[in-house]
Amino acid sequence: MGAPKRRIDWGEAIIPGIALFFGIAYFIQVKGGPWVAIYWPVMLLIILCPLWVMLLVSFVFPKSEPVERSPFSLSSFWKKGRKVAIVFLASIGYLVAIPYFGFSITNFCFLVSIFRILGGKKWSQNIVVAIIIVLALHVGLIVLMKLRLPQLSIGGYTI
Amino acid sequence: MEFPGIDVMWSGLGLLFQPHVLLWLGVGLCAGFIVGAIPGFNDTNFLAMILPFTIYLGAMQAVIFMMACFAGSQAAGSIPAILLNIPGTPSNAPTCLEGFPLTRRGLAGQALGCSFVSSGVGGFLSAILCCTLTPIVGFYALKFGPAEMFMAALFGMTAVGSLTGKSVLKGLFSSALGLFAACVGTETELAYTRGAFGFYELYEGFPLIPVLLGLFGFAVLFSLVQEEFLVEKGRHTFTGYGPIIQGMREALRYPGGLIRAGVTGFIIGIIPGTGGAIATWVSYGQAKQWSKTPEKFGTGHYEGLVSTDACNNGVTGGALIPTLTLGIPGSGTTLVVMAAIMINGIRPGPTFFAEFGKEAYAILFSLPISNLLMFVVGVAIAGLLVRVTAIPTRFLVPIIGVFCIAGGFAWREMVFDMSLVVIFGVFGALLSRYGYSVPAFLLSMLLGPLAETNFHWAITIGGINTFFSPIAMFIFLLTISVLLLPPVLRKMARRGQER
Repeated sequence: MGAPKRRIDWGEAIIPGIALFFGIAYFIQVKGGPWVAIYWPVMLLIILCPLWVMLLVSFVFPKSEPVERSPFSLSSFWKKGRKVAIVFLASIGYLVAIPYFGFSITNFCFLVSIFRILGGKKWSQNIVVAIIIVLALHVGLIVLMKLRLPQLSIGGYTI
Repeated sequence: MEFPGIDVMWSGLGLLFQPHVLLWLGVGLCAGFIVGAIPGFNDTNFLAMILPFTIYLGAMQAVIFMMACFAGSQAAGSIPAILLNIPGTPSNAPTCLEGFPLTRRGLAGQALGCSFVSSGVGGFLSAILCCTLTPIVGFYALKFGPAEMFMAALFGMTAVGSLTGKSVLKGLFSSALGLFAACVGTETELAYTRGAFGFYELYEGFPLIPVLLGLFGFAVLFSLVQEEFLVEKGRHTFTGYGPIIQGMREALRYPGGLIRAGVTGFIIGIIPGTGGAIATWVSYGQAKQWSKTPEKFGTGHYEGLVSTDACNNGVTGGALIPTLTLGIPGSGTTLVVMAAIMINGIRPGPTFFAEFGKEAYAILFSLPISNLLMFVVGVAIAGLLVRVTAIPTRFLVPIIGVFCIAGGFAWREMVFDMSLVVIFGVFGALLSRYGYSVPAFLLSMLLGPLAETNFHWAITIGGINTFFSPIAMFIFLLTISVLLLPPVLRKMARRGQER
């Protein structure tokens, strides 16, 4: 009987991949900069490179098959991470909407929709909880702390 | 620069006993107790979430509030461990071994009482040691020059990196990546803007608060969202206040165990990157080794409970020493505490005591008072805390999300910073999932400018020879030896688990 086949967990490539992408983008941006200003990042690059290579080696030649979690794949990610993906996409939607619809309305829509998506069956309960939180945040952040959060003007009123 | 004398110490004590300062201390304790009782959401997540709003408190009150919160959460983490067999924080895992068997025997109240007294005594002992040693370390830290400061920063980053990642390699990579991320923004020598990618919002580098909120606050949503309830429905048990007093007496039957566990927690807490999760296992193993009745351990033995809970709160005082005197936070929570000081325009480090003596002493003296008040607050709100764990995650997740994003805006009032919270939240979740160290990444981002500036000054002042001073070389040797520490500590903790 042969040794069990080692499987590569592609998820392990995400962080080194982000590091590589960031490093390349960074050095393209600072290319031609004065040496005094860039010697420190260059020194760090010299430290990061061997660590990155060692990570790459441990990624390509894993010591044993991962036991704590299954290897990364899009189908299993969607199956298990549906809620994670929804929270992420809703956060993106929140960030896009907030400059146009203001803090309070965006918050209300975000909270009600997430309550519902994550399993809140009763609309009335979802709406009441969302209104309480939005009011608390509005009073705390905009009225008391005087933060200039984005607000929507409707007929002379700002909310 | 002179180190503050006894008169400054008295002034610091006077500052602490102002009603509004004591009020924030009490609020911090209550908040810590509530947060600690929620499994999966720890004090670091909570403190990161409220950090932007502490600007309005001022540095001293913010830190006193946060340290009280830290102490409260460490103690309250034992409540779900004892009643539900679910550790509220990672450091409460050994508490389950002794606490839950006591609950199953119908002694939940006694276990809670024993836990509150142990936490209070361990924390108080650690606070006294912290009050005694911090000024001494602070006095010697004043002798640090640029080379020594660079070496101290290097030591902190290496220690936290090597001890908090899933492997030493991933931990060190996290530290190096954090240092690299700190290179974004305008550098101090020529005011040359590096790697801002055309965003004027990044000219001062990645802003601290949105990054911290993302890495510690927003990132936790991705793990919380997987659960419907933090604790299974119908598993909440509370037996009333009467037996709690009986449990308190049980804890006091082991004075030696209380002292040993408190001191163990304090010593391990000083080492950056270790924290309660390792310390409690080490203490549990030691207690069993010294016990006259080791066979009772694991069956619901008060001596075992004393060893874990006194040690757990013992860590709090130890972790504060490197944070205040060297500017090197030892854990995620002390990192947030340091950030709270920094956003008020103060940098903790060797000159902290000399420049802000009164405030520094007030912070130090707040520790023993927090620990004394802790078990009073704990006993008073124990019944409520058990119900906190019943909040459904469908409400908790979006509320935390909205708080984090709004908090990201609060500091510089830029919508761009809200986006950074989400970006760093996703990045933090990925770091955690694949075994990298979030505290190491953030600590390096925080210490990056300090390390760079001191390295440059040291080279400019005396060239490479500056790094060969006795203190710098001593810290360098410590840095090398800390790389050998993870296997030793893991072996000690494993021995504690096996016992």
